[in-house]
Amino acid sequence: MSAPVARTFHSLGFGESARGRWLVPDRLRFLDALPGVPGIPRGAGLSLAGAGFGEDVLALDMRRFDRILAFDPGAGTITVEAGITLGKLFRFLAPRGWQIAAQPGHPDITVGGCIAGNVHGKNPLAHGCFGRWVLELDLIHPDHGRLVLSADERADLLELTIGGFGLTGVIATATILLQPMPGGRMRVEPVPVASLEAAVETLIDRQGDADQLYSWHDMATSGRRGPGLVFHGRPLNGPRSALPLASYPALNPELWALPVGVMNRPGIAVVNLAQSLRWRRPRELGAAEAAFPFARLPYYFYLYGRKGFLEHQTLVPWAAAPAYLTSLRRLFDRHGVTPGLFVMKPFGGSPGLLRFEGEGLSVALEAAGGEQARTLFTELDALDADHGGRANLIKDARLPARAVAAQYPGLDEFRRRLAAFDPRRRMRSSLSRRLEL
Amino acid sequence: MKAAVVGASAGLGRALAERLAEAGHELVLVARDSRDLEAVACDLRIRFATSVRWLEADLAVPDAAGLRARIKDKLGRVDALFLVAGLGDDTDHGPMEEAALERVIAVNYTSPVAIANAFLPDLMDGSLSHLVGIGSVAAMRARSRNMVYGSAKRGLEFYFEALRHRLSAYPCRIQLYRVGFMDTSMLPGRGGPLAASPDSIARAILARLGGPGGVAYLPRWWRLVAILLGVTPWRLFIRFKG
Ligand SMILES: Cc1cc2nc3c(=O)[nH]c(=O)nc-3n(C[C@H](O)[C@H](O)[C@H](O)COP(=O)(O)OP(=O)(O)OC[C@H]3O[C@@H](n4cnc5c(N)ncnc54)[C@H](O)[C@@H]3O)c2cc1C
Ligand SMILES: NC(=O)c1ccc[n+]([C@@H]2O[C@H](COP(=O)([O-])OP(=O)(O)OC[C@H]3O[C@@H](n4cnc5c(N)ncnc54)[C@H](OP(=O)(O)O)[C@@H]3O)[C@@H](O)[C@H]2O)c1
Repeated sequence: MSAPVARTFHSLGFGESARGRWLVPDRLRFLDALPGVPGIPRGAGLSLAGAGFGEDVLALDMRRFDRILAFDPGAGTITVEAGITLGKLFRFLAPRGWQIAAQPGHPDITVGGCIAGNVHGKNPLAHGCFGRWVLELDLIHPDHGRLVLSADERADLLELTIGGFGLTGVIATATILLQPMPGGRMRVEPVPVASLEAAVETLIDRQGDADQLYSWHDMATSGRRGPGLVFHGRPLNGPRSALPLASYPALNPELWALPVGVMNRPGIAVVNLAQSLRWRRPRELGAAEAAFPFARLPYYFYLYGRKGFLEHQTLVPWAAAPAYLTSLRRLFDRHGVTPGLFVMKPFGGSPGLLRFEGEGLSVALEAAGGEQARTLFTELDALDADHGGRANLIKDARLPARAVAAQYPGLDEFRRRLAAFDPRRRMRSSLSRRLEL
Repeated sequence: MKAAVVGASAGLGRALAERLAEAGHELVLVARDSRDLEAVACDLRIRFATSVRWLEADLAVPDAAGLRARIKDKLGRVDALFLVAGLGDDTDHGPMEEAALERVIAVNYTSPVAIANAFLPDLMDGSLSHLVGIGSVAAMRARSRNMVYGSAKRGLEFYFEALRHRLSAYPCRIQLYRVGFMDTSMLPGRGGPLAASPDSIARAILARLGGPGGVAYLPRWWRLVAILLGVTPWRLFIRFKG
């Protein structure tokens, strides 16, 4: 069996880095005797936080365990190994009329990463987060061996593992409830909005019958009112044509980042102009393009350069949203930071532990890395807490433990349950150390 | 077509099995661990709706006649046989423990030769049309690394060439590939940017199935490296260590 290789890991965007060891096992006998050293399972490494690696930690890359073990078209369920990518699943499911309900935007993301990060798709309001669709897991831990987790068996450990950032052990396999694919294509209507506030109204109005609903904003304009587009996607009826996921360029910012970033205010204005020109009228997207908008745009991430970018996503209660957005604008101005990406989504699901779920408005933003952005984000943490907001742990590379303590009532319970299950704390990551989990 | 892949649970063998199943061929997979074999077989059956069975066998304990019988028992006739399994050893710059040395020779040389030999009647009676062996660029020019492994792979090439000579009047194809670094767990992190994906090598092997016999490089550019290595004077060559 292969030996671990020493290497430096970076989160997507270079927000968090660590020197650790990397192992890519590909035979099941390896999982029988997991090394007891501090380790952390890892998928595609596309998290924006250091969740799948850590200083002196052995990162177990699960991507070679990517096999489909059972498929039941009658019940609409599939059992897979957790290293399988959403892209491989899409290629199998789409022609058969099925899809994963809560699907994040890149086809290289693995099912293990989706469960451990309890990620959301294009419509968390209707579909909740990934965990809602997980029926059963096989979890492997160096001290506990292989455990079956489901609603009937070790339900509490299942709850801890969904959105558990890999800290309960290696997810070997998962059985997932599928969603019928409504049609082959999706019609996406861009609704122009003059400001962030106008977008909030449109997002509320259109909640009823959308398969995809989110807004995108240009924050580079003067005054930062945030003109933008609300994307409202509905599946088109008609024959369920099997639309293949075409091959796409790899997303590897570690390899390709520009030496100097160009995502400053003028650069962002250009990117935003391109986006609004692309979306002057409604477009029909193939299912693959609708599911994985970032697959063909890895270049976008390279524009930030080696200094990278920081991302932050907050879930604020609807009632607090207007005040939150006003303060946010002021923060950008005060710090002279222009977010390269600013996206809002109506959110749903049921909160608990460290999960980024619940009723409210999700506000996600991305800014070029550096001192300015870090100071801004520190103030953002306070702003979030003031408005009853919660930050997404898997998307923020610098979120401090005290911010999480102020925002997540479930933090202590998460720590307590993890320590009870694994007193020796075999799994560690940069994220778990930063958040003192 | 009916095909058997020996060493099919990981790396290049698994990639070959996947491409063969995708093309609708009926398969038997061989490796040591039934659980890996069953997982790969499940995946291929479900995705490609083709018949995929497997056999457990350890090439370090050769029983070529037995393996042939078991493969034929599962498949009936075999049209294509891929001998992919291989084994490297971290101590193969010497001195090696004798047991480790014998394993490397058994898995890379003795077993594939014995299996090819066991299938000789099938090659001669026209039922087995394709025999594909996997060599390595480690057999290009002898170096202080992979000493036993490289010799075993060189020996395997020699036998395949002999077989090709022996069977020149028969319609079967004997092919062997000197494969370059691949991104598999056999060479963890060592291949670097030179490492090819096993899938790309598998596609190339299948595209050439039925094509010219003999020894060829995959990826093709390794041939250039071989030529350069071949003309490198000894005084310079002895510096290529590590
Ligand atoms: C272009 C792009 C678009 C995105 N869009 C969205 C989106 O729309 N919604 C959203 O919520 N997120 C989104 N994300 C974030 C992404 O979905 C999550 O960060 C996800 O966790 C990444 O999965 P991964 O396979 O890369 O896992 P990694 O980043 O490698 O790991 C993530 C976490 O999962 C754990 N893990 C991975 N595999 C296993 C396993 N087998 N067993 C146990 N634990 C495991 C790791 O320990 C780590 O804690 C996006 C990311 C990108 C790059
Ligand atoms: N990787 C490279 O860079 C590279 C370079 C040049 C040549 N090659 C050659 O290419 C071929 C494939 O290599 P790879 O990298 O794909 O290897 P790999 O990933 O290690 O896979 C080897 C396969 O062979 C099986 N196998 C190993 N030992 C076995 C044994 N004793 N009996 C039965 N099956 C056995 C393995 O399964 P089990 O372990 O479960 O049995 C596995 O299915 C080998 O011949 C190798 O020498 C590889």
